[in-house]
Amino acid sequence: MVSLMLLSHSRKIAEGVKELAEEVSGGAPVIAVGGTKAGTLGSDFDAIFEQLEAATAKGEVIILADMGSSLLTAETAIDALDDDRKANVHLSPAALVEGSVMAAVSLAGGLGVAEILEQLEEFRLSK
Amino acid sequence: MSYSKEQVRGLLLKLADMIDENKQMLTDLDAAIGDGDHGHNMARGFDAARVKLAQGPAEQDAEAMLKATAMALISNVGGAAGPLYGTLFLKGAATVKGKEELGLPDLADFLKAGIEGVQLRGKAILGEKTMLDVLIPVQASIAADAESGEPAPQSLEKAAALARACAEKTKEIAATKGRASYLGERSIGHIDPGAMSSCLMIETLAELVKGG
Repeated sequence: MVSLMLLSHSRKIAEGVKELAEEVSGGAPVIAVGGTKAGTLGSDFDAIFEQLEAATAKGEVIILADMGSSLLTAETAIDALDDDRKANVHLSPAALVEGSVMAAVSLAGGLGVAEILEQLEEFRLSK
Repeated sequence: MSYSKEQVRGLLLKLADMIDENKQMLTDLDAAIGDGDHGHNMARGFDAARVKLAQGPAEQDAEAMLKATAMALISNVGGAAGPLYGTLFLKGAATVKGKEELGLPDLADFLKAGIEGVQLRGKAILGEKTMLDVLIPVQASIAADAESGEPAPQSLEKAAALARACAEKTKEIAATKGRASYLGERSIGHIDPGAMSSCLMIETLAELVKGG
């Protein structure tokens, strides 16, 4: 099973993008993590790591993130995973909203992870 | 001249106090060119580190304490400084593994490994208006002094002055990394908050070492 994981500085953005993606994901799992433990804008390493551990136990994970600490925290969480899990995680540099919807549509359409990552290149941002 | 794990604990607690005292200043620097949370984020991280150090066993070695600090920063800062400073302390911690006494060469090694980690994580190089603009020259200065046998207090006094000059110099740079890069040229004239927090840490270390 492939899961889609959406990370944002803002809980509302993460959940909003999840809502958009779930509309077209055909039931593929979409996980949203946004904001800090304190409820402020930022990233929560522990929440991201926990979700990543759970999702990688079930299969591969495609992560889309908004910028800065979302990306850096995602990379740090991937590093903290067991080595055999790391290869299951794919961090995409695509724009969060457009990329997430495209990835969700592609998951619903039964595309493989490699194909989806290639499609996401269309929405690549330098971040 | 060498330092014990008790002095490492003292340093970490002093860093936590220093960040707390300077959190508003660091946040204000960040408000000018970033998202205005650096000081308060760092204070949250170091508060968590303080708790972790207090909860840990009394006989923790330097590596364990530095690692606990790293994890507290990674888990609690909430901004990009969390993974970056967390990585600095985590990679640095590995270099002091098994060491009972630490000296200037150990500090040079700690910073070298830490900086490599930060560069790998943040994909930044010297001159991009980041914490590296302080840390890289400071590490080079300390490493040269360690090589020539300079006493630690003198070396760190020099390093602290260098850190301050380098932090000030980030004013002249247009940011290409982090949130400040959205401002580009308009970030010129402002000190990078990450460079300033790094500078303050080096100054705190220098003060402690000077005091014996």
